[in-house]
Amino acid sequence: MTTVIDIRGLQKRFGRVQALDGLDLEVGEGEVHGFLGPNGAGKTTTIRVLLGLIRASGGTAEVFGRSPWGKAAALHERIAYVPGDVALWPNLSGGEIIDLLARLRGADTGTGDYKARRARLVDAFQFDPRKKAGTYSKGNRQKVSLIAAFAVPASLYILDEPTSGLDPVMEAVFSEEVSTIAKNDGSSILLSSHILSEVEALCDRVTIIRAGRAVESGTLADLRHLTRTEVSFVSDGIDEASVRALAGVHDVAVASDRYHFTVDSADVSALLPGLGALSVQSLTITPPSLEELFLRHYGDEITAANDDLEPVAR
Amino acid sequence: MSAAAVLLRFRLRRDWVILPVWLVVMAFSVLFVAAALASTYNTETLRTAVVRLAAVNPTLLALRGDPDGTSPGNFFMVEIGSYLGLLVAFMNTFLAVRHTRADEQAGRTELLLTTRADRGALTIATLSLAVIANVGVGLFGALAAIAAGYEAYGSLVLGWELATTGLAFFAVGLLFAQIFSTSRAANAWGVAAIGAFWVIEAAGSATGTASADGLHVTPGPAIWFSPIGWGLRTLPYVENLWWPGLLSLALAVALAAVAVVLQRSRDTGAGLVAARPGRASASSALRGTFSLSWRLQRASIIGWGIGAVLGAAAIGALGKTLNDSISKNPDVSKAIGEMGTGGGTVFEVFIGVMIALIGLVVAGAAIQTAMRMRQEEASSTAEIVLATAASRLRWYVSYVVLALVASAVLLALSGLVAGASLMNVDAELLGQTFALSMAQLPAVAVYMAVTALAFAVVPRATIAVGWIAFGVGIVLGEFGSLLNLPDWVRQITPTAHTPVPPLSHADFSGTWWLSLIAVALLVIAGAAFRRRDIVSRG
Repeated sequence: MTTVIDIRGLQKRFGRVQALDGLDLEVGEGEVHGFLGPNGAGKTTTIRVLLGLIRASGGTAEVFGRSPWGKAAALHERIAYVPGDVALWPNLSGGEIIDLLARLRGADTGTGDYKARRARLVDAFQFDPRKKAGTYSKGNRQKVSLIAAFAVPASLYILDEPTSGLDPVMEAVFSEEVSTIAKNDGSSILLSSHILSEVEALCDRVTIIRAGRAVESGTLADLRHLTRTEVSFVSDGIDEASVRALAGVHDVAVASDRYHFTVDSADVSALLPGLGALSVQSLTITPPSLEELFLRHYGDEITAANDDLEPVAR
Repeated sequence: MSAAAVLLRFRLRRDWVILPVWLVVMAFSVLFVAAALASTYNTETLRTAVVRLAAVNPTLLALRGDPDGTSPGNFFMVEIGSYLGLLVAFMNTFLAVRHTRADEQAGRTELLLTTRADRGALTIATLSLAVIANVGVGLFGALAAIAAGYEAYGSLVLGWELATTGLAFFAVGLLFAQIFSTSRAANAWGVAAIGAFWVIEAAGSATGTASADGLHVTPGPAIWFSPIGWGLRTLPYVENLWWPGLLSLALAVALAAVAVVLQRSRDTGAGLVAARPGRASASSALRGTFSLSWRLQRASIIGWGIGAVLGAAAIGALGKTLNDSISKNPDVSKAIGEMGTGGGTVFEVFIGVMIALIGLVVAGAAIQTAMRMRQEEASSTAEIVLATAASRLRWYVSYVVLALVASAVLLALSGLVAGASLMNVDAELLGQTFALSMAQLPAVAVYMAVTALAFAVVPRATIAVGWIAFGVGIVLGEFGSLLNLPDWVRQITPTAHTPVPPLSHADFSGTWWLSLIAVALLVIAGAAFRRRDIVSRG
């Protein structure tokens, strides 16, 4: 598999603030890559480096095997970008901006192909292209950017929190577009997002970053193995000790006849015969969600922040 | 503390830089012009000659206002009165829009209205701010005039007229902020209203009738239809009338009342005039970075162009009268002669000075076009363009070329208009004004290049650098030679190096130097811009 985005040890300082601190990120061709992290973790900074808008202070960043700094325009012919907070020219209508951006990306807006794509997207996103951009809500500004990005085919889509401000119906339209692109065009997509269900549904691989570094990277299946699966059931006439005796069980708790515990995701199948022997009822086995994965890293941060605060409190 | 008091404190906190800047600019203008007059028109004879000339020259009356005697105080008011009126008018209109429609458009008003503050509290806070700002205007104006050596009572009348004129224009801004749904539209209409009121005042002054001795001019009725005219009619230092200021106050109260009624009857965020729908798809003209920069800038370039061409037409009208009468009057010849730098007849010097002023207006357009790069960057709209196949260099060059082409067109138009209106003096003047006007282009380019360099090297300071360069250019260009400033100070401004008439002896060597400097600065700026991070606001 060819690597489309290859970032190694990326550093970016803004004055005294270290925004990126040795970030690694790899996105292969045809891959939909989720890019997750709390606010201020450095997602947008990474994207701005990839677009050649800012220069890395250290490390390397390559897009299609080339550094984006200095000769970004040539790379941009193959890239579609959707910013997280879309700023538009208030005097231009949405339709004008969509066409302008398409032309700036080198597309011929006179072709039937472009017109058909644009018309389909305008319709799918239920967008009114005649209004001046100054009157658009956040969601509508986002739609301008999304339609402009999807109306011209690209080899790489860089989407920075693309669905912020969109309603759930529009989020679904967006997901459908992304799936279609990934399936049919073989394009690569870097999707920075907070909406974990969206990432779970769309992405092949995920990188979680925190404080300017990647803390987890891999397929969702890989990452799931790092967390525990939750198991709960109801059972009469057993004692807690027999539950604790099961192989690989952690965090056992009982609440009104219902037993809860977690188990390493890799050990779930080994656990099943033991559960059968306990004649459990209404058994649920919940694999770890991305949210839990994510919260684990948030959780670290919250703990770390508290640790920092304590000396001050005393 | 009541909600209105909290809001007022917050508004003053937001304006603690911009308000003092306006006040200081106003005070310095007063001191500067006073110093210029003290060093140039320091004798009764000289003032009498100039007043007699002005009294029979409608163009001069329109530009300066009607004289009432030859006292230094009145001479000072004729020189600066309508300028100060315009200054406080701009300050107040923008102030009113910034605290009403701009907040509303950005969603801040909505946020405030969901707290304990209601619309009434917002209105009280805004009007209190208006009163505080204009008390500041009045005090600063009066104190500056007293400091410049003018009599105290007359200076207080000057302060009163500026404060009341200011309040009237604050109310004009409030009204437009209610009518239009964007602050841009409200500001544009505010500027148009200021221009219209100024033209009404100018028409009133121009149609004045001179007294038998030629030292007093009674304005035509039109002057009573403009707050700027009411301000002038307080006649500080001569009649010291307070009541014309009451007309401005009455207008302020009436317009503010209408604005409050409109505000109560509409939805938050809406205007009375709905934004018109635009095109569903882009016309084939909007296809690259250059056409985009033109589309974004065309309204302001056309606005500057109207200013330059009107100025050029005024030169024509003024020059004709000058040629008829001034050159026969040795005192005035001397006074006008001191405004210029080169030789030539008074008439030629006059044309040179005026063309340099047109050059400054066009420099304003060029500076604003260069500043637009920073505004695009700060608002992140540059980012979505630079993330396409448009290279940074192409984007930058688009703005530079637009600024240069627009400047060349404006200078050509101004030169032709000025020359055409002087044709009945001397048909050859057309070629001369055109050539001299075009020769301003390198100086204009230097102003633009300085702004572009600031954008490339210290992006956050672009706007400040651009306007400071422009302000220094105006002050040194318009009043510099009155002040007996050292030569090297006067040489700072690019316009000091443009050729002066007569064309047959004009020295074009400065033009080549300026061109070289402009090109060098623009190339350095382009190279520096390619090497720096794109930084948005914050």
